[in-house]
Amino acid sequence: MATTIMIVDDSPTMLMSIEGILSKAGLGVVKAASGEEAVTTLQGGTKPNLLITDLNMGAMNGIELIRRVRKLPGLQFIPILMLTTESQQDKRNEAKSAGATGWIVKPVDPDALLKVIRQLVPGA
Amino acid sequence: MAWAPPPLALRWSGPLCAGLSALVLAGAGTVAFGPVPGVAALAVLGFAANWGASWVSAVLSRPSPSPEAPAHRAPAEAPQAESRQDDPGAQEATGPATGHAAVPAEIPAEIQATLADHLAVYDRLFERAATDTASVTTETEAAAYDIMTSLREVDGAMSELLAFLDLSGSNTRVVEIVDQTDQQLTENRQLIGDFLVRRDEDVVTCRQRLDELDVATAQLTRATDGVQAIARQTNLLALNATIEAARAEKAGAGFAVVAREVKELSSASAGTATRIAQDLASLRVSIRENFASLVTDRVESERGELMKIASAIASLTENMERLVAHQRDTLVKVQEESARIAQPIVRLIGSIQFQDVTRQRLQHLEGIFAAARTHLHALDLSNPLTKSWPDARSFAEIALSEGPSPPRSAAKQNNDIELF
Repeated sequence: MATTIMIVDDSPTMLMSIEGILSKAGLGVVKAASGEEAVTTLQGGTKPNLLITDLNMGAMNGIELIRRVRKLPGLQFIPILMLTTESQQDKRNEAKSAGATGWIVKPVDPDALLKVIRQLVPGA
Repeated sequence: MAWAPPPLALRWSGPLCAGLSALVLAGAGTVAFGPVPGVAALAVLGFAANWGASWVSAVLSRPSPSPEAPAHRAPAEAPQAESRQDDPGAQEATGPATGHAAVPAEIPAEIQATLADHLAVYDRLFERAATDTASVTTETEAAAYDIMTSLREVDGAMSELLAFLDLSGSNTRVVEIVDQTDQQLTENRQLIGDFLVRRDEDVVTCRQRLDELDVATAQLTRATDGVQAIARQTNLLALNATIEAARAEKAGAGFAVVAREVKELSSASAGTATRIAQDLASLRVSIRENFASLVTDRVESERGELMKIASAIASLTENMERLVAHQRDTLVKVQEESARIAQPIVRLIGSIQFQDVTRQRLQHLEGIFAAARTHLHALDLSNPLTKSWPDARSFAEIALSEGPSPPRSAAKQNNDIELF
């Protein structure tokens, strides 16, 4: 079964960029342009192997999204990576407390991103 | 006692406005605006940055507001303020020592108007900077999206090409077809060779038959020689009979007639044998000439034509092999180049992230511009609602707050990745 990665970002450019990197690596991609859209998609039964989310996204930010995702059945333990321009330690700590698996500062090198994904999702 | 004289206020107004600019510019850091035309307004603000930098530093470094150090006071004013510590009017004018010091009740209208003019200019500058920054964000995002779309199209076309090459197995199929063709051509060349061998064998067989025929005609020729010898003996016998008939005179007259007939028969036999021998000789010559024409010459002609065909087949095979080698090289080159291009395309796709980083930094700047305008409005003494000075420290914290990480080359630095 193909590995599916969900990308959540309010920037269409970022969505296309990360989708391009992942799809070139043979990974399946599900996109969401907001935290709300991501939650709706996940509640609809989509079960990604890993979730990548932006931090600052308007109404529902990435940390709130993580909190919501962790409460959804079957998604308590999926790896969630925060991909953001922010690098402050207090925000990292907040994301970690919310249930984030890792923190990546934009821009991320495609190879480095794929390496982390394969580290978290064996067989990806 | 009245508030500070106009010269003090005028000295204060310059660093204040310049300081606001400096706060914004210092807070903006070194965002890469080089290629962005819409933020040219920031350059206009640059002159104020140098002027107000010291003011900013002083605001940030001084302790919290206290009775001894009023929060709103600029550094340039400090010596005068300290010199006025004994002046109760000064304390009254500067208001209570809090972050939002009260605006002095009596400020000359001229000073208020001057300050209002300065503040209005900076307000418009910040407004324009915010507008231009937002425009730049929108335009660069649209441009980045277009670039990204084009990149994806290029990448898609490359992927389709590679998939087509993989799925069709063009290289393998061409090699198979050419192998089959080569095999058929080789078989055809073999057939030609076999045919030529058989033709050579036929020529040898014909030569053997001809030799046998030659032997047979030679035997027949020798047989005619025997006939002629018999005819000569018969003729001699007829001659002796004629002599003996003459000696018998009348009794031998009839025998003389028989002897003459025998002699004529002998002559006729000899003539017939001679003609047969001549005909056999003519037949041998005719057979050899026809053999040379029908067998030898034609076989040689066929051999020549077949050798040309064989040569053409060999040339065709060689050209086919060259064609296959060229096509194989071409396909391999296409696959290699496609693979080589794929990696830069991925890096380019990844590099588009810089636009998002820049966008968020610009949005951070827009927030600072908005805060600066709010601060400027709060400083507008001409507004009757302005009752207290805004808190410079809180604004400084906004202006100098840490924004999104600066754009950087993902390929040239260690990626900031932390797994919890």
